[in-house]
Amino acid sequence: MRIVTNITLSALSEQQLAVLEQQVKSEEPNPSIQSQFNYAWALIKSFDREDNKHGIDILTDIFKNVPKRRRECLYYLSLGCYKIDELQDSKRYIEALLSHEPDNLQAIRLKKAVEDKLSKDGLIGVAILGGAVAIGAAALTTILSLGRKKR
Amino acid sequence: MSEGNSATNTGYEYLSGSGISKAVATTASVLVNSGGYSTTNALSQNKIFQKAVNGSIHSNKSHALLQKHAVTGEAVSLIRRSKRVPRNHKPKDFLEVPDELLNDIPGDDEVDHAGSSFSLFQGFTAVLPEVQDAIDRVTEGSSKLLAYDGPEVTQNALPRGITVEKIKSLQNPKQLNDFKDQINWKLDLLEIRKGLASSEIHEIDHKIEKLQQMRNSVFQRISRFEQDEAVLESSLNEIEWRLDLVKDVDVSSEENQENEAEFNDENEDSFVTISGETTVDYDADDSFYEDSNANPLMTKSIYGKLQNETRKIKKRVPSRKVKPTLQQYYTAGSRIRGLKAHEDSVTCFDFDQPFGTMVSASLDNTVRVWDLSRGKCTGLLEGHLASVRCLQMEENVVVTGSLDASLKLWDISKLHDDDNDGCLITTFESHVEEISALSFHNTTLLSGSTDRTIRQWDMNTGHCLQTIDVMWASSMMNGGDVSSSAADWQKPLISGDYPFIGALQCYDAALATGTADGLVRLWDLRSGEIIRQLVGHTGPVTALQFDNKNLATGSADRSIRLWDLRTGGIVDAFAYDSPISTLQFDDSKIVVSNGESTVKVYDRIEERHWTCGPGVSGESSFPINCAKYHEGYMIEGRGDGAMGIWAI
Repeated sequence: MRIVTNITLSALSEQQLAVLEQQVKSEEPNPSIQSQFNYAWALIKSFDREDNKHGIDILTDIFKNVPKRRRECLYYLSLGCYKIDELQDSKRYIEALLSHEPDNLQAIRLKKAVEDKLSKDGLIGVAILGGAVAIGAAALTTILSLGRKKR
Repeated sequence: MSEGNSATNTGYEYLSGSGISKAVATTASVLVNSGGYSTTNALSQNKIFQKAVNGSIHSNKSHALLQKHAVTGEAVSLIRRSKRVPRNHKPKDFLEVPDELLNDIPGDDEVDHAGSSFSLFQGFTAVLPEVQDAIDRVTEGSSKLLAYDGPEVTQNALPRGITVEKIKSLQNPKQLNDFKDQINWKLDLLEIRKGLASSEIHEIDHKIEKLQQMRNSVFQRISRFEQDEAVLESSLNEIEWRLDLVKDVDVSSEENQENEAEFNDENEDSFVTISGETTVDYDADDSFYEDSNANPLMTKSIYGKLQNETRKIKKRVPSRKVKPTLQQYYTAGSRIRGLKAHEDSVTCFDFDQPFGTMVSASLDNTVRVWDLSRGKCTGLLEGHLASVRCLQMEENVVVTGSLDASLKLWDISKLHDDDNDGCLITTFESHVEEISALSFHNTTLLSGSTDRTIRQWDMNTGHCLQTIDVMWASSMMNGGDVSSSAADWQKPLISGDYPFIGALQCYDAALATGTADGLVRLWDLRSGEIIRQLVGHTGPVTALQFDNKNLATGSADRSIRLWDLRTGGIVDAFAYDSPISTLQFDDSKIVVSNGESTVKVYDRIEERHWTCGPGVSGESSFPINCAKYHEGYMIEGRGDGAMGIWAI
């Protein structure tokens, strides 16, 4: 969980975001990769979920356009997805990164965090499902028993 | 949904047509045209498509069809679409990286030569202080809120709080050291950003290279298409030719024998008809032709019949439906092809169109026919006793003028007809010295010789229609003093071996000549008189061309002059370093060869001079004797027999 706190704690101010955004805009129509990344990363650090998604959009574009930066982007993409609870995507990305850099400690840690969160969600899911089944069974038995009583 | 996907994975439901409803047809173009990720996006947004897929799957018809087709086995695999990745139908409001891209991550070795070992994150941290800087600056001077646009604009490279004055005046070593640290830190940050920017440049270079590769492959494709086109065109021509032949046999099989009996004393070779003369529309007077037809060799009815029958040469109608455009995609000045065409100096050549047919002549006494698209010699025109000095080519008709004082008319479409005695149609023999220039238009052929006469020939009959003695005609114009003007010609203006008639061009009854005395004369062929003389060149005129507005001349005095045909005044004039040998112009360019290793091109629109040829890249080459171009496709011939094809 340390990673998450890391991101959120160092969130940038609105002003800083504005400056970074301005920078990208000033370089239109061909903003530099660095400026785009700066803005995207700042967005992912933001507390606002919409900002996070926007950040992921930009990073995805960088990933598609600049093969050389793909590996780097993967980590931040994974982190972004983790933050907005898109755990499947997050897992996809971090695993892709780890297949190339199996010794990357940061990546290993992130993967662990993702898996933890997944299993937690999974447990909750199982619990909900289990509850539903129990209720369903109860209902069924009552209906059946009622039917039997009628007969 | 999985069932739906399995069906969309295979392509030939679309081919079979019945499996999926019409809606698919509308999306088929999307499927075919777009590749990669955009396909999936476009499709996922297309509700009609999804509906159609879902709707039709359950009918199971497509599966039956699929199996039916599968029997044909391997052939089908050629038209099978590649498997599509099943789409995740959960709507997402942010972009995601598709799996196939995830697998496509450059390895270590590919990344390392990038030129920068900095990560984007380092770049981010390097920029942050400046972002803060920018904010501080704005909040400090709130009145200048509009002044900044981004952290990049820093008027002062020094860290905040440090100025040159301060550094100069400071005494305190501790503070100076502090400054030093700050500046060092900033220097490091700048170094990071610099490295990142340079790696970005590498990336862009990489992309440009990729694009160049793409361009090349598309370029190859065009070239292949044009070759296919050429094959089709030639077959088409062959069919037309056959059709004509078949028609002729049908109609004139009876008349044939009659006529032959009547006129067997006539030399058939001299009756040559070029069809298609009616298609020309020009503003000049037609009366010349009426005059010449007024006294035909025989009664008109017979003559007409004869013309129909003895179709010795036929101008193949320009039946081309398509035009070669490949030369446009070369960058201007780049080499398209090099030919080792002849053993000795190339004297002249002509060609019909880019990647078409070329006829070239050389001092090695050969005249060769070339297929320019393949760069292969397809035949020889044999018959002249000496080397060919000038030639002109229109469609399949070629006229050559040789040092043996004769001109020959060829039909190069018959180059490989075995049943004929070759493609030589007729020979024009009347000149007493070598032919130095020729020009034909429709059926009129004009030739200039070093015997100082110009002869006009009828290409249909092979007869000489008139002979113009340039000396005499000129003295007539100047008041009849033959002797003095004759004396003038004896002394050459510029020493060197230049033919008396350096260049000529005819158009209908108009003729322009350029002679060794530096004069350009305009003639009326109907009267055989000089209409006008253009004075200006101080050396022998060696090249000449006119269109409907201008007359361009090139001379051994190294200059090019562009005259206005109406007023006779000079529109433009410029000079090069060497005597001009050939010249060609149109509305946009003047292309000149002057015996150097480059061809000179003058862009008339941009008023810009540039050069093209082997000499541009410093390559050593023999001097270029002649150059010609069509639609940006330029050919030059050199002193050693080599020829080059360039895009201009």
